[in-house]
Amino acid sequence: MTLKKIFLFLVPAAAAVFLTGLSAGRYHIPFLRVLGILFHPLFGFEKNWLPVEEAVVLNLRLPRVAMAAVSGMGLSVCGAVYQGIFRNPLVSPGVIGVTSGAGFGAALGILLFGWGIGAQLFAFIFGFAALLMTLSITGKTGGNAILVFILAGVVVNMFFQAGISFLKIIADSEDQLPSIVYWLMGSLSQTGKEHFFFTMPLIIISSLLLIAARWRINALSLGIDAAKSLGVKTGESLVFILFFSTLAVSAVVSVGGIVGWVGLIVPHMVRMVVGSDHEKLLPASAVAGAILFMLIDISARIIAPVEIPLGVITAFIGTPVFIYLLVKSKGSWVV
Amino acid sequence: MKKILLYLLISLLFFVVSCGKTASEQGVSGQSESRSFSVTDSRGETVELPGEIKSIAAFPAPLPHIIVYLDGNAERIKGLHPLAKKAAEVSVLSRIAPSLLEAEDNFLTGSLLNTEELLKIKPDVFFTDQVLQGMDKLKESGLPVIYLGLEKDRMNYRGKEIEFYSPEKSIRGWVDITAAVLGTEKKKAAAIFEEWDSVKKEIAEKTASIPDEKKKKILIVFKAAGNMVAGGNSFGQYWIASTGGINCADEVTANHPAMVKIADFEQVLKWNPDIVYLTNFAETMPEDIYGNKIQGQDWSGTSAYKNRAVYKIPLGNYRWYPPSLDGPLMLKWMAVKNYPGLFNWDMYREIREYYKKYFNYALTDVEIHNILNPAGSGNF
Repeated sequence: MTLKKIFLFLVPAAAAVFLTGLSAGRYHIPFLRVLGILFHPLFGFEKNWLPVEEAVVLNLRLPRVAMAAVSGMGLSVCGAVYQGIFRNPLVSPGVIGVTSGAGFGAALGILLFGWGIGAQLFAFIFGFAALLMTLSITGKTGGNAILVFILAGVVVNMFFQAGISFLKIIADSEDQLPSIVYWLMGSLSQTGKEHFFFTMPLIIISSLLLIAARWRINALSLGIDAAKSLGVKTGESLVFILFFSTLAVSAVVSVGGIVGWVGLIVPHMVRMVVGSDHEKLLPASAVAGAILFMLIDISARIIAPVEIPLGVITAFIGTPVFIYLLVKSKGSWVV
Repeated sequence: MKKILLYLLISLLFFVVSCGKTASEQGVSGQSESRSFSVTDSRGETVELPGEIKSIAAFPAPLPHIIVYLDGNAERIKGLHPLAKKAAEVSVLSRIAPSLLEAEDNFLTGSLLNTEELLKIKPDVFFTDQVLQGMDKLKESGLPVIYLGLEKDRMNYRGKEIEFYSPEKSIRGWVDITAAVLGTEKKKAAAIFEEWDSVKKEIAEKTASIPDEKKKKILIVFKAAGNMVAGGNSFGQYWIASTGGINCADEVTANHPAMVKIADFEQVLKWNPDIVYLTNFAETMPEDIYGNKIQGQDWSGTSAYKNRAVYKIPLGNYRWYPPSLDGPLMLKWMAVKNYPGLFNWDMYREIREYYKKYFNYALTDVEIHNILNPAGSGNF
């Protein structure tokens, strides 16, 4: 299937899900009114809606749906890139320790300053700290860099998981612990207009740069030696890829907490349809990830009045879907 | 590689220092077996206690003010959770009972118990409101452990019988158990609850005639960031229903005594509360709501925002939202905020008289002002 055909299907689907996301929620607003509010700045419709409805659509839903789309895109692209360069289908953004590093940072931030900007900033700082730890361990060893890198990532991951456990124990059970626990399970309820100016552009730019590097990722997915023989500067390429993927993943975690699955599953689902060529895989994963994550967040908002963490929904929906695909395809696309 | 090893070593050291101080002393004091007695705790376990209780170590943050109420001072308190100590320090309680500040607080970190540090204090009894790792070891070492748990109660609310975590029933239970351990006269321990009953009755009588559609719709926000509110089975349900209001969030419940995390902020706009109360479990102040400073939220569509009816819950001997002996004052304060036309208690006078009567302490105007206008989360 050509990329054009795939996009002919995916892009309208994404637009439809986006509009559904803006219309769905516990505060009922008729669909036409949502469209009116949304396109009012462009066409200047007559305002036949309440200020509170406009606030719901533009201040509450729009940032959240956009953040869901952007997060899904970022996680899926990073997942596909990692699976490619590490030549390992089990790899997801969590594996190099960035997710748990960022999660640890957020938990520490909550402990020190409460739930807010400070925690988000700490998520970034510790996401990168995790990457640097992984890189410095890899840099000090010779031999099979990729395998060592994954191993180092697993160890760094464990280190920060232990750190998170420790923070949970020393956290005030009445005050800080619920915030930490909920953060770690994932939620976009904290998304606001502020995120249009920094977090979202950061994820979008990082993802686009990774997609732009898809030829080099193709080469790297053949192995370091093969990539070198194709004229790819492997070291520089790896650092470039890891830097921007860490940026994207930390940004997602800083707002939405730790959400697994998306980065692991979406690339596999897309690979079933388009194959392993990153020229197609990366752009298609980006849009498919956005769609899936928007759907997950919409479910989180409407299933129950009580928040069901995104991590729980992704795992509950993701697992059966994944098992179905795996059985149906007999796992043929994995190898 | 050396740097990494060094780093790991340092972090390991940190870990050891922060929770591993060792002690050689062990054993429990006050073993005058002759006058030993037993008390049944919240779990229904019968705990054997040695003669007279001279030294107490405690985990629960509300316990110090219960002991001060029963004893008139905090002389017997020798060990406290760091947060309980901090709570006493920032509140008026440490002025009422300054010896609280001398209590040891190094045997607990979060919910991590250092048994040896605890035994070093040589307590006659240890109070906890959480099941802690290492609690069984304590019992083996002969230290009686009294568990204080939360109690549920039932009420008739809008024609239905509902179950909820009751701050009143919980604190009554804690006072009964603590009084039995301390050996306080039953009549003395019950005095505050006679007042509680009469305040509750007075408010109920005055608000009974308000038809449901005229009742104030109230939302207690446990933590604004994170959309945590007081649901239909929380402490908040008790405070709202007891002061003649309707709990906006009565339809949502969670297995948590104080709050439920709602899926989406727009739920709050749908509820459209007339009055919003902010607990002392988060830094959020009314100004943060009026200024729409909370990420992902827009309060401007609510009646509470338009009428500037967002209030920070006071903090006296302890936070007023969870179970505390300031309960009757909380009821009066909320009743005045909910229905200023029906209730005209002068809170300065009420608080002053209450503290004089039950804690034998003459509050200054500044102290009362600080109780009614606490900063953020009370810094603990």
